[in-house]
Amino acid sequence: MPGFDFSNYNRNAALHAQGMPLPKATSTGTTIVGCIFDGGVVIAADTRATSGPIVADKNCEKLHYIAPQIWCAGAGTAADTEFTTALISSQLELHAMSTGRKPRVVTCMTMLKQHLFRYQGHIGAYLVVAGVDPTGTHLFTVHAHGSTDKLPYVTMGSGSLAAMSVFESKWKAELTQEEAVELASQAILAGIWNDLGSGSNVDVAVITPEKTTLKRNLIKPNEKVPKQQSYKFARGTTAVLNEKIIKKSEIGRYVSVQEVPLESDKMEVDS
Amino acid sequence: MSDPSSINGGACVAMVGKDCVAIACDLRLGMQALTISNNFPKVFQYGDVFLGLTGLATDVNTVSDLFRYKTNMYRLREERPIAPRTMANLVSSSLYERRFGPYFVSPVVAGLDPKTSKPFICGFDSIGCIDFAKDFIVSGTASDQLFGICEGLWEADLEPDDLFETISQALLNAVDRDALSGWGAHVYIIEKDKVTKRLLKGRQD
Amino acid sequence: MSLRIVPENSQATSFSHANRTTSAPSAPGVHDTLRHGVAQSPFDAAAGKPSSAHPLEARLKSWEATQESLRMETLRRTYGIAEPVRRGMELKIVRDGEWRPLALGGGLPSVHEDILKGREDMISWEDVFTGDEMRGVPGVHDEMERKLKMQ
Repeated sequence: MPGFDFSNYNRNAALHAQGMPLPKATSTGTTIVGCIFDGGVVIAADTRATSGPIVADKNCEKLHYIAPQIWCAGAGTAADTEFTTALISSQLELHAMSTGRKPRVVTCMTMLKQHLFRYQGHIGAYLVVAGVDPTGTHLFTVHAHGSTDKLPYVTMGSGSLAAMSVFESKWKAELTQEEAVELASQAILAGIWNDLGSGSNVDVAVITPEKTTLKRNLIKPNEKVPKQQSYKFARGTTAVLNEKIIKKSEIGRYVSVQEVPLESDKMEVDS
Repeated sequence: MSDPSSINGGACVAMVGKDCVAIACDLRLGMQALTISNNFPKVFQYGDVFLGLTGLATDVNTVSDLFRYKTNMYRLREERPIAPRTMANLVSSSLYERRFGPYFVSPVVAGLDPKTSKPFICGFDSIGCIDFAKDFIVSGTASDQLFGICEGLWEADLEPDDLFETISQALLNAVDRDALSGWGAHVYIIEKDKVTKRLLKGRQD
Repeated sequence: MSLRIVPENSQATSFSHANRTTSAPSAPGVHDTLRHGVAQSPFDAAAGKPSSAHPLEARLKSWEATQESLRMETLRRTYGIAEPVRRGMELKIVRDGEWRPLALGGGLPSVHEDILKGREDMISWEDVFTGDEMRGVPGVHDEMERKLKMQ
């Protein structure tokens, strides 16, 4: 049967029944936001990936490409957001080629919610979908169980409360592009400082009818202070019991590559 | 009982240097607190790409054989060895296929890009989320210790010999503070024209 | 005939390895890798059945069939029984008219079948994860013998 492979599930469930906790998947703890402005939409994300209390990746990318004018910010299980957006991106491209029209944001949102509903929340992808299409500017959120929202400004992830507090106090109708980028960055920064699941840098994507601009690491408020001194070990510090060097040039000793002589007249079988 | 990925113990680390990468693993195979073997390497070579696998030992064996099969099939189909970045995506999608019944492994991929010779390392969680890193990747039961020591010791543009000392000291000292891993180590330094494999002397307790 | 949108919850709450047919007579319950390959062959009686007790698996496995029967039932109510029967016949003609040896990887439906089902512009995990490489592939002779009912 094609599709997901469940053959390890019973073994894992049996181990779990013996009292073993199942290993944690990398989650994008995350603050992600989206905000509509006059003439486009902006989405933003932090760049921390966590595995339990450990910071697994300090500068990961949470803004996913769907189509040139449709982008997605992902929170929840990192692998799920990555693979779900990749699959829907392919599906939307096929759909666009089949219909001969530019893909629409509602189509993307519908595909996402139908896909996620089918998996009953077992695929833990929480997404902010934003884009500009021939019908206008759109901003949606999609939850893992398949419910969706359509709002002028949205936040998701563990830092959504911190981010929403910024939107609720500073958002106004008819923002300019610069104001919207600033507001979204401030909302992400609120998540970075006040939510432990979010951190590091601010990524922003600005989508307008003309073009999409991905501003990777627009704000880097948490740069590592360079070490004042080097902790290089003197060569020979480590005790070595055995050393084996394999040189590429010596591989010829094990594998012989011979050019087969190709004389053109000998190849002519029919003549 | 502890979780499945810390029954057998083991640690793996990969680091980027100047025109080279290093990947290292410990050699312990245990059953909870009982050590079964001190010769259980967790780094596997597929052409020019190296894959480190820590976690449940039965899955380490299964997954390493699975990728030997997949990389061999790739080489037959494409008539070239697999590149590290391709390997990363292969590992990622193979793990995600088992999203609802995962293998208890956290793989690490290291190698040099065959065209540009640029260093490439990345790590994965058990369901295939890729962590692209420019500095180092750690996995296994000593990953907490390795995270700390690598943040402290790693620096950019280390020459192959210096990178060997840094990754070896990082691994040896991290596994000394982890009861479930240690018992010697294998270190691979991968350069453009050669690979150096070293067996390190480590504590046997 | 019903108008179900999602499959009913038919997931078994318990799962037994003992009644698998892929085990050796001397070791019932254990999958015999030598005889049956690393995983299920498409000829195994259990191939279409859920292999786990995961609540999603039965749902996913019967998802497409449920959607198809909903479509056919809607067509029947609108146009009469002739419409779903015609479509069923077309599908059967397309399926019978094409045969690819399983040894070459026969996991996916053909493009003609996809078009008749209206799925030619869709991609799902079933198209990506074909499971071909883990499956024990039957030899072409084995397959022909079964196809011609010689076995």
